[in-house]
Amino acid sequence: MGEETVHLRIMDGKIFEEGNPEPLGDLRDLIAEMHRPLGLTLTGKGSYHTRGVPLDPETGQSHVVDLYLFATQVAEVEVDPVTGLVRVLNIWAAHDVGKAIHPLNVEGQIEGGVHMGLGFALTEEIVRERGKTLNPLSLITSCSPPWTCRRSSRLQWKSRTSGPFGARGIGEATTIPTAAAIANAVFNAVGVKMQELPMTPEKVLRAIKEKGKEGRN
Amino acid sequence: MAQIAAEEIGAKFEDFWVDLPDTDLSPVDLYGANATRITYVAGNAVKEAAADVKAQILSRAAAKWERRPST
Repeated sequence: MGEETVHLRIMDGKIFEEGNPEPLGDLRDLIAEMHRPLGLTLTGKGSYHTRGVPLDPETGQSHVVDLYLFATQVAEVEVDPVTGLVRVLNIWAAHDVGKAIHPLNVEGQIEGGVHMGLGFALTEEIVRERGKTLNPLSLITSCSPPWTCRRSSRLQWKSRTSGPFGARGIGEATTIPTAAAIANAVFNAVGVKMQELPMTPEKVLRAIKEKGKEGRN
Repeated sequence: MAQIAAEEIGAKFEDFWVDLPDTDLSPVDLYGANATRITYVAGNAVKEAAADVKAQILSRAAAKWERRPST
């Protein structure tokens, strides 16, 4: 179905006949005419289901997910050895977004995701005791680091996908690499592998001191 | 979603709007068209629905201007 079979096409809201630069008519008029006098209700139906093939019990392999997302983030940090404060100077986020249908939204998603990752990495902590959250407001009160990144740059490239017009998802993947990149940058700066999030100044300082003790032994 | 529908049909983006969720219009969604997969899952569904609309419009256009679909 479509313009190939009827030699008619719809472009910019107008109906064209192949080989004729003059439009036959306006799409809106045609649709209005379908409603009245013809009495046709123009409704389109479409659906999409992810496949979700179960794992093979022998190999543990499967086509579980329709679309994988690939991303790399690089963090540049400054660690104060006296206070343990981690300051993120730069984050470079490279995400395979496929076709960016709405580039501004894509960039907004990446930047927003990185900022969520920053909170996850450095400030947001839920303190629990015997299954109860002791600081229920912490997510609200400590979601932003006490400084802002000077800059975040983004790379985009196109890859083949079965998404609409070659689009991919760009949501969760933007948040996941940030904390890991920051932790690796902290290791590069002061030689301590942080094993727990968030990397608060107290924890980083403790890790630096413990490393110092090991060095003396 | 409006961009996907407009692109598929060949109409102007400004003529499209996305309605707020209404279970009279769209079925209950369990765990499909949300989160990271919204563009992928809902976008593919919108594209298919738009293709359906487009086929109906072109079929009417062909009848109106007396052109038979030639296959």
